[in-house]
Amino acid sequence: MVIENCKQELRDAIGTEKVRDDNVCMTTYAMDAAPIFRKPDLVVLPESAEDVRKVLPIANKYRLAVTVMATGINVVGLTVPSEHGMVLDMRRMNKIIEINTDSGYATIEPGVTFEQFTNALRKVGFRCQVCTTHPSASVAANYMMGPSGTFCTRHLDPMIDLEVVFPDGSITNTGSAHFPGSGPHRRYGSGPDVTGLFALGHGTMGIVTKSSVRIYPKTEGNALPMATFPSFEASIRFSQDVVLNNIAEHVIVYSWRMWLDAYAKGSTTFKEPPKGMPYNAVTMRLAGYPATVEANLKIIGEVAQKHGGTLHSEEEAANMMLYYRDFQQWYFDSKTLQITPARLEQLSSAARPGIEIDEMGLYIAWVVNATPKDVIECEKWAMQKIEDIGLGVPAYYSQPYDFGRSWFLRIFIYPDALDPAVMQKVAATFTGMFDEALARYHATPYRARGFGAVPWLHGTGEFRNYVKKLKAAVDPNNILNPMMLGQ
Amino acid sequence: MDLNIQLKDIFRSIAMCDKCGVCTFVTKDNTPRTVCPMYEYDKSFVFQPNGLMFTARALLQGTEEYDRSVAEFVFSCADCRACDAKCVPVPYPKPHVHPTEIIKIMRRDAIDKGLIPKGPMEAMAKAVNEDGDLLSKAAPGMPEGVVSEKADTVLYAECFHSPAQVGIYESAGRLLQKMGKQVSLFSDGGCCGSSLYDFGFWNKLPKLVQSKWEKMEKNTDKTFLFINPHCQEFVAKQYSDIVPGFKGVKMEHFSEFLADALKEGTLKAKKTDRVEVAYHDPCALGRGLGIYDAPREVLAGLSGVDLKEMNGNKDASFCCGSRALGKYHPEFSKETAKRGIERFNETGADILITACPYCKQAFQGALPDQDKNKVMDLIEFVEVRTA
Repeated sequence: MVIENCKQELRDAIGTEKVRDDNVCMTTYAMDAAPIFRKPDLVVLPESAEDVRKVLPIANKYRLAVTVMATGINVVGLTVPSEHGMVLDMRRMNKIIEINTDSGYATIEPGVTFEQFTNALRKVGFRCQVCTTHPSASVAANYMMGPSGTFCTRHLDPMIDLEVVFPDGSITNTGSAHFPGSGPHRRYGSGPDVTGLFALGHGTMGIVTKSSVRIYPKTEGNALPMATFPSFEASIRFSQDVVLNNIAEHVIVYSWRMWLDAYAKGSTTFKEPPKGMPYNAVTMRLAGYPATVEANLKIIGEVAQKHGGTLHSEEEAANMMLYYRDFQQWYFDSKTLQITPARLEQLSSAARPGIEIDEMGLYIAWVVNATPKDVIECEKWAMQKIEDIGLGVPAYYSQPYDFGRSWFLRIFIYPDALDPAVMQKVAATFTGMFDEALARYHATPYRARGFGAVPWLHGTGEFRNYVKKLKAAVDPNNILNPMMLGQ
Repeated sequence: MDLNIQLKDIFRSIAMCDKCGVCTFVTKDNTPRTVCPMYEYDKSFVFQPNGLMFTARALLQGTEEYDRSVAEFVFSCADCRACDAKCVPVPYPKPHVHPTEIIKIMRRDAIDKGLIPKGPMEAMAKAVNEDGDLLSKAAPGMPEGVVSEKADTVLYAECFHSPAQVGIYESAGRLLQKMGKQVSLFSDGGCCGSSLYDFGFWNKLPKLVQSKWEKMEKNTDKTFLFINPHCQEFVAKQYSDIVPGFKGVKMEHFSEFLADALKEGTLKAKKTDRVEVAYHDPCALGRGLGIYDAPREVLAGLSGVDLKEMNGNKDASFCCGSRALGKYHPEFSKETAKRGIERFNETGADILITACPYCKQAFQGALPDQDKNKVMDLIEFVEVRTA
């Protein structure tokens, strides 16, 4: 009866069509790609910040758990609602409010997708951080997850200013826009950096209704050189050099298993690349005036040689790396990476060793961040550990954050997602590996762990208590994604 | 597709759906536009291919029971196959099934469990269960001199359960007469099998299709000429999975036949008033059979006809909604046809041409009586614009 009263109040407040409770709808929102099933009691589809301001106080009054989501891929259980809770699906708030090419920011609603955003930016000669996600993913939701992407070497996250609604219906901006009329051009206003409170907060601290994000002009000079190296250590040291000397805007290191498909054909172990094949490939995005790019290309060849590597021509790179041409579009034109049927055909014909393309299951990744020295050691250890699970051959990519202070390492496999025993095995192994990597290599975990089996902020000591106090201040009834901090 | 396939046989495909939503839109001229009619109608996670894939997953995992509400939902997809053209992960694993094929398996399961959606599906189930076929009145007669058993072409004349097909068929007859082209007829007074396949009556298909094939088999040296693209697509893609020893037949769609006739001069364009037309690519003809050029060649071969392409054409064509018979959203089918009309209106053209009886019927249904003649089948249009 209580929930029925709540639904009625919501319908009266924002309209019947935006409040759903039918069985089919509840079932589809009960899952993401992770093996968790928790059925909500209702799904709400707001169309404006004003709708959100009406919804949250009602949810707060009825102490209804609210899990927020937007468009696109969801894989690790973060958008699986609380049992009998509410899903706040933000996809209908999909307007690009402003693109400010003078300052270099854009203000968008949570339902704006990468496809929408990058196309709009292209029309005005701009680009944005593009992450390894689908074109249909929400830009704001992705940026809120502290993703790896085409500008993470320069910036920890692309957020400048957020508009946030709290459970009592109050609303504020977190950056310079909290001064009325000033606009969202600066992450900081006159107080603490509150924007950071919501990044990686997974909807626990407030509901973001607008995001102002960094955008960048397209440059006249562009290049995507690729160098190959005999070891992960050489790749990391080379990358540090080109990043710290301001030669490359962004760098990615790929395991040979992942991208050098043409070379990898025929090999059956991950430790030993086929004869003549390098261990890693490193792509670097160069941008600026054409003369600067040309000069930097020459320097890169010398630096690669210093680290025992080889710089390849564009044609060589395209032959060695299946997605090289797609990466060029990704970097130069902010075109989201997407496997097309034609690419799939190519991938199938270049079958990766140890992975039957037809039998690949769900993409599941283990992700940590560590210093350059630690990530070098962590790679060897983690690849062996994941291979030992016996669920396929792992591959990885790695990239520097914040000018190489911290390195992101994502290792992945493709297990059968519908076999609970397999998924439990993966979850248990990955969870144990986080603890061990922390102890051995000071490597910090990324986002949630163990598909919800491990409490958020597990192992963070007093930090977790502090976050709980902050949450209690903004959300005293603990309605915002309460599963994250435990009931 | 193997008629005995079960959801558990394709669990990898179902598991590959990770809610990405790429299946719902296309981008042209730097502008993304929704191509899934369900998502266009109800922008939510539930009413789109992802929602249907997650329903399949819940059924397979046992976290959801099949009931009438699920049945209404799985029959609410319009089966336009726009998602099939976009989705890569789901068809990735063997046996390479596409999202709408998974939806058809769920429909088959619903029918087998006796979970028949209300409305047109109830009438269809009654007819199919009584007759083992979706019987209709026999094909209308052909004009004098057109039918000859010795002709090298067989006109495939089935599926008159769609009222719009009658007029189109009559126009086709008059065009054949104009050209002096003779055909023999294949007419059983029933369904080719496509509607039974699309709407889950798979248990009736082996007998029905075998019976049709036994009659068709005698003419495998001839070319089968199709008016309804759903019939052609079904024969082209499904007969081999249903009929043991199926040898295949030569097939041609009427739009291809007309394009050749205009090029070769066996059919001559008539000088008449200028007219602007928009062409709607039917799902079965375009995404199903890959025939996009022939209808456009036909229009280009007529006198005084300017084609205005719709925003969302060819493989990005927006569905007419006619094949959505579930009632998850009761007005979805009609509203989808109205949105198609809106896209036609955006072009400013005078006439909306299509090449499928279901599309014609759906679009005419979305217009007031005085405007229904703005929608024509390509065959009807060619008849009035040729000498």
